[in-house]
Amino acid sequence: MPGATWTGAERVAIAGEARAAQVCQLCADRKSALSPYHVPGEHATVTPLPLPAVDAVHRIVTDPARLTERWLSSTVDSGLSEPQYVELVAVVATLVAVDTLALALGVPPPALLPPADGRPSGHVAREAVVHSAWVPTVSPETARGELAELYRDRLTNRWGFVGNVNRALTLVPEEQLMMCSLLEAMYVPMAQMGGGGALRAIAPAQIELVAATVSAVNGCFY
Amino acid sequence: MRVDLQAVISGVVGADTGVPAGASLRRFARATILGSAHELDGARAELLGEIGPAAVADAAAVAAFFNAYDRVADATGTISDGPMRESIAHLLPGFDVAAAIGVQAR
Repeated sequence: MPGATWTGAERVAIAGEARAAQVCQLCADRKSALSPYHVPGEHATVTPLPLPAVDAVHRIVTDPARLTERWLSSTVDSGLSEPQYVELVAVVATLVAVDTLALALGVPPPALLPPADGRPSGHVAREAVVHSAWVPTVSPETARGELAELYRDRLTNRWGFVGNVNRALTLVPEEQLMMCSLLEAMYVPMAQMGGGGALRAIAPAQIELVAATVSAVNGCFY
Repeated sequence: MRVDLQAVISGVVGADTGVPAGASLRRFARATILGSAHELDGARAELLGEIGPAAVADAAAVAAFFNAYDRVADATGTISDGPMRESIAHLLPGFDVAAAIGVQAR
């Protein structure tokens, strides 16, 4: 399906590029380098996406913990708009979630579907500002319409606040909505985070242990 | 249940966290992200024997989601939450999260 800023074909290309990144020699060389920003070369690209988009996809997949605000600024300066970047992050994250689940369960990753026709919706949250991330986001206090409902009904945790990561994609509201659905399906609804709910076959402490282990392995500060 | 938070964030897979099946869960999560196919197969089989298929499926889903959500946080430069930092300071006085996982705080 088309997104807010990318066509359906471009979104499928982003997903395909995310898979290609896992066997990209440049990404492997950068991953093993002291700094990933001083290793020249060309990505093993498999799509006609613009080079800034290809580079962003490959870095997010293979070395996300060493992304910098400076790199993001240069990426935006080279022609990838902030809404395009945020939507790209969401597509990459979705692909990573699906493929990691397949890997963990020991089954092959699903094939990418053919893209649907249509034009991007252009639906971007103009009220977003830089506050809790490098990219503009909409705060729970200023959100309107579907985002306000999303914050109130689905993204406020049991301690009464919305975590910054749960607003990270709000520049492109439909991507934040999609990510929330993924969160609820694969983790737990925010209102039950850390609680005693019986939604899962593992206990809340076990859920958080798995989550913390993955984030520590990934070197994710958040 | 008493959980040893220092053990949870220690990075030592076999550390006793106090969480039921904790060592197997951590081995499985770690192998999913970093392990070879052989290591992951072994970790999955061990976990399956310990907690059963439904629980393995849920553990796989959580690991997969956080492998993705970490990328959302990193790629957007999301800063950590004040309430979370306060909770950590309350639960683990003097504990430096950034130093523990070897990264710089944003």
